[in-house]
Amino acid sequence: MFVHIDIDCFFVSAHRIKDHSLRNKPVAVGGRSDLKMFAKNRTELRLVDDNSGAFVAPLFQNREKKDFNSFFLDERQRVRGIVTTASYEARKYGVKTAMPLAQALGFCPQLTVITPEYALYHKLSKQLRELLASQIPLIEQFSIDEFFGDLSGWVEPEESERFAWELKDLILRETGLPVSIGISPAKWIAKLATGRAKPYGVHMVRKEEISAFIKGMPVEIFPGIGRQFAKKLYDHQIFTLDQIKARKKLFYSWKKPGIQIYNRVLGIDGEGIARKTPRKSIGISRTFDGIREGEEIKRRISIMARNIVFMVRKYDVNPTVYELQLTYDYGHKAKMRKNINRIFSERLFKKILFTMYEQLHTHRNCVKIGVSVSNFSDRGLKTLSMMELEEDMKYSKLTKEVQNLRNRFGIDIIKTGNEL
Amino acid sequence: MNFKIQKQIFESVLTNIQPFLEKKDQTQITSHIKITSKNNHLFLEATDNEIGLSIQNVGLEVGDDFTFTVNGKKILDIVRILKEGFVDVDFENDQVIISQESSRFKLPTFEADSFPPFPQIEDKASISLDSSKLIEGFKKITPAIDTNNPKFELNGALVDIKADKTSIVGTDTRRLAIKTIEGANDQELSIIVLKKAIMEIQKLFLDEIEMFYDENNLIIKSNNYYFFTRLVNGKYPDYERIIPKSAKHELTLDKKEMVDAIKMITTISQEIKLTIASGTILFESLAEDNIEAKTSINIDGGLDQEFTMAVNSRYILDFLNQSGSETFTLQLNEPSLPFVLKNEDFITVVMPIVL
Repeated sequence: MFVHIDIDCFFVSAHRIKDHSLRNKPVAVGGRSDLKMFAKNRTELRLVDDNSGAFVAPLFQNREKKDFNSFFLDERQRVRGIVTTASYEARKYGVKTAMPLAQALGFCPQLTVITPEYALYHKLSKQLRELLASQIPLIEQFSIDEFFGDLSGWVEPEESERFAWELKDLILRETGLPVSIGISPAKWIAKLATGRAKPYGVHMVRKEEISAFIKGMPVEIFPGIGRQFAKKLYDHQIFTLDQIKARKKLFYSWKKPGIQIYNRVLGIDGEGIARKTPRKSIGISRTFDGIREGEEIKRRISIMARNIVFMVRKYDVNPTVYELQLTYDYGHKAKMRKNINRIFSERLFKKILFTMYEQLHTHRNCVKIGVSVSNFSDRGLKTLSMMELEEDMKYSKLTKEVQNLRNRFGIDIIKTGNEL
Repeated sequence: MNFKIQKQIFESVLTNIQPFLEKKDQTQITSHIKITSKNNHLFLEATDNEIGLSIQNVGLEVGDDFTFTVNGKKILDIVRILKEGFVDVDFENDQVIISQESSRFKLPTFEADSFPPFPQIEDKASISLDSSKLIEGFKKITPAIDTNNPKFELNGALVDIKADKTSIVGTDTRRLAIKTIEGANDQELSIIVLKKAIMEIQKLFLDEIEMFYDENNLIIKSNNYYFFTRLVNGKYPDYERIIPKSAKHELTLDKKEMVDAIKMITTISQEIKLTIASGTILFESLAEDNIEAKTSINIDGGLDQEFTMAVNSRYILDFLNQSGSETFTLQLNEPSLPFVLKNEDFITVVMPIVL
């Protein structure tokens, strides 16, 4: 049997552990695109990375406290930001994840909005992972608040429901976090079952119950069926999960992604707990109010590059693909990847990013920048270029030295001139 | 206007000329061969505007003077399936008719006047180099030349003629091959020749050639062929800077033993690990998933302190395939720094894999 453990409204629950006044009332944790790294004064950002499950973004943290007004109000006193988590009390008023905060406050004026505290979430998530690891031999962290566990050979199938109830109580006792647990012999059905278990419950779907369980469920609630995929399914007159079974040929004609979804929905994927896979790429993206000035965009690219350099050194890898993505008004996107088979250094990385920017940029309003690196050479046994070897080695050494300083004094202790 | 030609001869000249045709766009005149009869001789020309070949002397007497173009790939396909014996080629009313006994093929032609002209020898300086050594040099460094590198000059070989020697250089940035021809030259010259031109030069010419150049073109002429290639406009990397100035360790190794050992390991992985110790070299595969290959050879001498490095075996094998004698020299500095493979006047500098 597989269990899927999901923390109930995680961010809100996290704050409720400390602050009892938040219990039993509508509460939401808000979020804003974190633009602190672009500030011109020192921000003392540090990298927090003891939590490395899939979809868990690396976190840059500074120790500043912030209140609602300074965090969510912009210079014109408008409420900005979105709901990242809403308590069940708030959901009754129609408050949902990803809803603009201003709208949420319109639906529920008495809503308590809290500023996010990512370090706390990472700490609790790590604590839960360690607790689960002590209770289940095979676990997989699927996101910051979701885990899979494989009970086979550990708990008898008929015992698993009782095991889950006890586990749920234990988690609340040890961490203060309410969780819901789904159980099923198929991994992805277990995740689906958690939805039925919420809030703070356990739901088990036995093998023979799968087809009855998925009957009438809309396709888009299944993990892996996004908006685009759902649209494609509607076009083929597939609206609910149980309609999928009869359409095997269609799904198999979509090759790997189709076959995978087909098998997962029917609970015949045979997938186990994913082994921890090494990080394949490092990237940061930031959304902001439109910027037209090339110099400011370049300054931001440069700052994001510095943060990536810091992580690249931290993971001790040598990326050979650099990517820059710019999003402009009206969703216009410009993207470029370059293969750079050279020894990585901050100077080289920034130089290549700037040449890519020169080729990509338009005079529209830029609203989002994404910078990332991938294809780490040590894993692919790549031979690097020796054309500029001497220079590359010199700058790589410099980057390593700077890293020592940044480790001690923060990522922004040393900046390059183009950031000023 | 017509001529008769032996199928075998016709097929062989048409085959030789294929690499010079534009292949993708069949509407271009450069996908055609220009066939000319002049002063009793038949000429065939093809060019994709980068390289071009004129086959000068097909060894056939033709009465009339004429010029027409015909799709180079199509005409070869037709000639190939005809029987042994003579093939009739007629050109009339803007159509080419190829016939043999009761078979008949018709192909359209393009305006022969719009066929791109070949650069002419007049006013061009000549290069006086030992042509057989030059062609041998091209052959040795060809595997090292890059393909599809965005830095266009790396898709060609550098011919660097200096007062006291000539160097022929190819690199894909990960290894660098250099063949040096000693000997005084009266002029200094540096040109970059496209890889595909170099491959054709090796096929067409052996000896007794004349070479001419200007800043845009290199022309090579022999009795039978008139060949030209556009030169690559660009700055070739400073190759001399990449050759290590000195070596901490130097070993003389047996070529055949080395090739055998490496080939054994490449059954498992192209990337290999070498450990050089006193009296032996150990070869190991670099593969995941519990697959492993190991072998070793005995060597004279060796290194007192173990030296371990990883490398793409392709680079070593390419060098050994092109090196002439039974032994070669390996010069090492650090496991993460380029090393040198050397055989007389042919060397390859190789960047190891940094583990």
